[in-house]
Amino acid sequence: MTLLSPYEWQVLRLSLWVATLSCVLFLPLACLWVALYDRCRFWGRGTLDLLFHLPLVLPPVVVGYLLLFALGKQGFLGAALYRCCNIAFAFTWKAAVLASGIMAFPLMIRALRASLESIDRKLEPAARTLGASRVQAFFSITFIQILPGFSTALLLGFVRAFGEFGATITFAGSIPGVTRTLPLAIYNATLIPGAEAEAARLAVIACVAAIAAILASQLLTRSQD
Amino acid sequence: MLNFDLTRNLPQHRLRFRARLPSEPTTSVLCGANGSGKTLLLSMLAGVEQPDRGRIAYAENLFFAEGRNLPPDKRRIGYVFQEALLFPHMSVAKNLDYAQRINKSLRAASLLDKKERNAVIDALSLSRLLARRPSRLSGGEQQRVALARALLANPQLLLLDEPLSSLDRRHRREALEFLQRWLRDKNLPCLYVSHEIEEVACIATHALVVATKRGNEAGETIAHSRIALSSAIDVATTDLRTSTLTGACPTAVVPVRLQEQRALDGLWTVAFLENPAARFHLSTHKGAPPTLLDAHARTTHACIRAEDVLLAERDDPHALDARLLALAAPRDGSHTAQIACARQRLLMQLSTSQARSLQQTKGKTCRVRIRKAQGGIL
Repeated sequence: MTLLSPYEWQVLRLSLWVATLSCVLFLPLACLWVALYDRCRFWGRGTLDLLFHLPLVLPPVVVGYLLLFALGKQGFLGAALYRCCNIAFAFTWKAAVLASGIMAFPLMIRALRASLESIDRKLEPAARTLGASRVQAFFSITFIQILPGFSTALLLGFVRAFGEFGATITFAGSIPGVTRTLPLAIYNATLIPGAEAEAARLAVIACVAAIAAILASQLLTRSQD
Repeated sequence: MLNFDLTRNLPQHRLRFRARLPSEPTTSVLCGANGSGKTLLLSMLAGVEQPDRGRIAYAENLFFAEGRNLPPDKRRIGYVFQEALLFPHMSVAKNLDYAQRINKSLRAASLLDKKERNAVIDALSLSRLLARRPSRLSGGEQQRVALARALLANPQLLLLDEPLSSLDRRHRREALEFLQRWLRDKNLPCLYVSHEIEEVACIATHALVVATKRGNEAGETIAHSRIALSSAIDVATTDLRTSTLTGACPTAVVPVRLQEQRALDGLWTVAFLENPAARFHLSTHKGAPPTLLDAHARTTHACIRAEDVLLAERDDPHALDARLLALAAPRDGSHTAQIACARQRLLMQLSTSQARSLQQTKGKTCRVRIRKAQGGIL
């Protein structure tokens, strides 16, 4: 790639990889939670929902700190994981995925829930009286109608994960080629005297990537009509 | 044919619905004041809502009982909700064919053929609307699509919750005539919620009345809703104080036999079914013949308003014998009385002095005259 330097290319590839992976992992979880929250009543339902919304209101650094506290090598979960399965999270690419995924999670939940709430809940019973089974009614009525909500959730989650900074730098660090995503690279470039041009180039790349994500999401929505 | 005895607990009170509908297919109107639970009853029959306990049986099928709750898609009940509830992401045509698409593999034999589908679409004037989305339809158009969609699923029982309330006069008349014909041809029993007495008179042969009794037990209000079934429609007579049908005046609906039309003013002469000698006049919209319940026997319904039943003059040749059955408390200076006349129950309005003298008459009998009735036509 002549347009981008090898370093820029590496940073962009890592950012896209981290953002995509966190969406792939956390969007199904968001769907599951929205469906569970909507259809079932169980103990701790409200508390869990509040917990999942925390990344939306907490400073990202705090989320990163909490992750480090729990999953770092000395953390109460991380230490146990390291001891029994030899898995370490902190300061690896997995940490970057986890941090950006958790930051994107509440946005995906909100987008999915909003689209679910915009549907008339009596349509499914109406479909049932016309002979549709529970599964048929869900897929032919509710699922089809919340498809645009999926692409909104995907877009919001992706751009949030793509732009993640605070939680990532705290929990995953800024290791070139491992956890240094685009925002971290820009921040790093601004710290180095004389690297202003590099920071500007990276910022332009971030803008182009964000606009591309919006256009892709619009295409996705339009193709569903 | 349809038997049910259902109890449902609400936060404030308990509702109980109980009725046995006769074995031949009938069109029954379901009446009751707002909030008496008519819609809830239909939802429970369709399986969309669940009763707390009770039993629903239809023909040989047990829909609901202890330990059994047949899901709505297995009940084959057509249900037109108060809101049309069309699927917003499908065109009108796709809405109409929804049942067909869903059930292609399950019960292809029981579905309607193309000719019948087109008949429904034509009769409800939907052919122009087929390509449109529901959001582009008016309220009346949406209701017509909802009715057609329910019919095209070929149900074994039809529940209609004010299905024509947004239709204009012309479409309502067309839809009712078509619906009446369809129900008869298909031998399809129907439960119909409506507040329009004319609609009721056109289509219903039976009435179920949700009568609400309120009592105070242990500090809470308990409303028992009981459904009374009557062979002739005496909707308004069941509850003297509140007519649940729209119209300023309490009205009785009685089956009559149609005779001839008077050239003079276009009024129709009709006679009571049980008493052919007892005749009165029926006024219809623009003098058109009223909708017949039975074309061969020329029977129809007459809506007789309480204010059109008068105490007759001594020498009135058209006077009928009547007997006072019940008298409601006065309202606005007049009493609504329930009377037995020509083996039917009618309502009449009496002034306080008339009511007092009638109550003192031996046997509480009097002679009444029916000034005019409204014919079952729209």
